[in-house]
Amino acid sequence: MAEPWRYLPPRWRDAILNVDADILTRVEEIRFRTDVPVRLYTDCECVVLQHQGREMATDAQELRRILEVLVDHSLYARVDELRQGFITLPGGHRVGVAGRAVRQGGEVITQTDITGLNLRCARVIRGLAEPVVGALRNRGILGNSWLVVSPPRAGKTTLLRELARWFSESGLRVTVVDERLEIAGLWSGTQGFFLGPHTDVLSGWDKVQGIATAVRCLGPDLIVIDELGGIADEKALLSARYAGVDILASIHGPRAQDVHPGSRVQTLWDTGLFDAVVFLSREPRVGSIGAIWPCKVGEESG
Amino acid sequence: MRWMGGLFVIVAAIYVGRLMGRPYRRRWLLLTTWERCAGFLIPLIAWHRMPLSQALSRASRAYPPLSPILDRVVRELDARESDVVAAFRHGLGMEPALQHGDREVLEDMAVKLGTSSVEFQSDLLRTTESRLHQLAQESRVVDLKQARLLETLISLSGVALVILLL
Repeated sequence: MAEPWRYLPPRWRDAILNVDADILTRVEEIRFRTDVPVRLYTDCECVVLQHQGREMATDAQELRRILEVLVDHSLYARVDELRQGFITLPGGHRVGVAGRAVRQGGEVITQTDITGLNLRCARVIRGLAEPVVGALRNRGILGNSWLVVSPPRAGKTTLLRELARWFSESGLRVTVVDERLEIAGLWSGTQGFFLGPHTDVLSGWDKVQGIATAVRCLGPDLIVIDELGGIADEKALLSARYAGVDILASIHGPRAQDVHPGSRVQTLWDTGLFDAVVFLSREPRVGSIGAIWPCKVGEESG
Repeated sequence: MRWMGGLFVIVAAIYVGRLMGRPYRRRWLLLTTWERCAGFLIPLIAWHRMPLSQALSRASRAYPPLSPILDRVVRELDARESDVVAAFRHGLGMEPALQHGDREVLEDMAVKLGTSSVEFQSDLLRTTESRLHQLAQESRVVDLKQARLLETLISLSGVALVILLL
C-alpha cells in the first residue's frame, strides 16, 4: 500500500521522501497550511519539512494545486467528500480539507479558498484486535456488538479494521459500511486493506442506506461502521439489531471518566444497543484499551 | 518504357496531391473526432464519475486519431507534474494540423475540465462539443474543398506533364 505522500506533486513528494526514515515510518499527519511551514506530526514530535536546509511553506495557490493533484484533477468525482471536509486517497488515507464553505439552499455544496490540508496516514497495526477481544471475553461479554469510543487519533478506525478482519477470519460474515472509504481503503474496485475472507464492503454508502442494504441483501452476522452520526444512524442500528445482526461501531468521545450524563456516548450506552462500550486511549500506545463498560441492560437484568 | 514512365509520373502526381491535401483532411478528421470524444466523455464524467485520466485513457482507445495527444495528457496527469491545461497544451502541440482557433476551443475546455461538479462538467463538454461541431462544419466546407482542389490540380498537372512528354 502506497503512503499518502506518493499522491502529492513531485516537489512535495520528494521533499518528504528526503525526511529521516525513522521519522517517516512514524508519521501520523502531514499538515499544509497557508503561509506556514509544512509540518510532519509523529506520535511524539513535530518536524518542519525542509528542502536543502530551507523550510518549505505553501501559499493559497500552491494549496489549490496540491488539492487538484490529490483529487486526480477530477473534482467532480470528489465533491461529495469535499463538502464533508475531506477526501480519501487510495489505501484509506484521509486528507482533511480546511476552506471556506460554499452554501446553496442552506447546505454546504463545496469548499473554496482552501487554507489547510491534513494528510492522515492510515496504518495497519497487526494484533490490535486480539487483546480487545480477550479483554471483553474475560469480562464475560459474549455478544459481538461493541461501541468503540475515543478522541481523534487514538486508533478507532485501525481497531475497527482489525476487528472486522478478526471476526471475518473467525468465520463470521461481516459487512463493512465504509462511508468515507477509510476502513477498506477501496479504490477502483480493489481493497487497500485485507478485511478477511468473509467480508463484503459497501463503499461510499451513507450509514442508514448502507445498513438497510446490508441487512436486506448481504445477510451479515456483523455490520461494521465508523464514526456514528445522529439519531438516523441510531435508528438504522436499532433495526439491524432487531434483525439479529451484531454491530461494531465507533464514535468520537472523551475518556471514560470524562463522559457526561446526557452525552452521546452515555445515551448510546443507555439504549442497550451495544453489548459493551470500549474506550480507547493513546497511552501507552495508539489503540490501547482505556476502559470497558459492559452493557447496562444486561447488567441490570443479570 | 515511355508508357511506364508516364504512368509513374501520374501516380506520383496523385500521391503528391494527396500529400499536399492531407493537412486539410487531417484537420477535419481531428475536429470531428474531438467532437465525438467530447460527447464520449460526458457519460464517463457525469454518470460514472470516472477520474479524468481514466476517462481520457478510454477515449484514447476509442478514438485512435487522438491517441498520441490523449496518451501524452494521461501520462502527464498520472505523473502529477503538470495541470490539465499544461498537459493539453503539450499534447495539442504534437498535432500541427490543428489551427489556432481549434486549439483555443480545446484549451478553453481544459481550463475548466475537472474543476467543478458534474453538472458544470456536462455543460462544459456539451458546449465544447457544439463549438467543435461548428468548427468541423466550417472545416468540411473550407478545408475539404481546399484538399480536393489541391489533389485535383496536382494530379492534373501530372497528367498534363505526361501529355507534354509523350
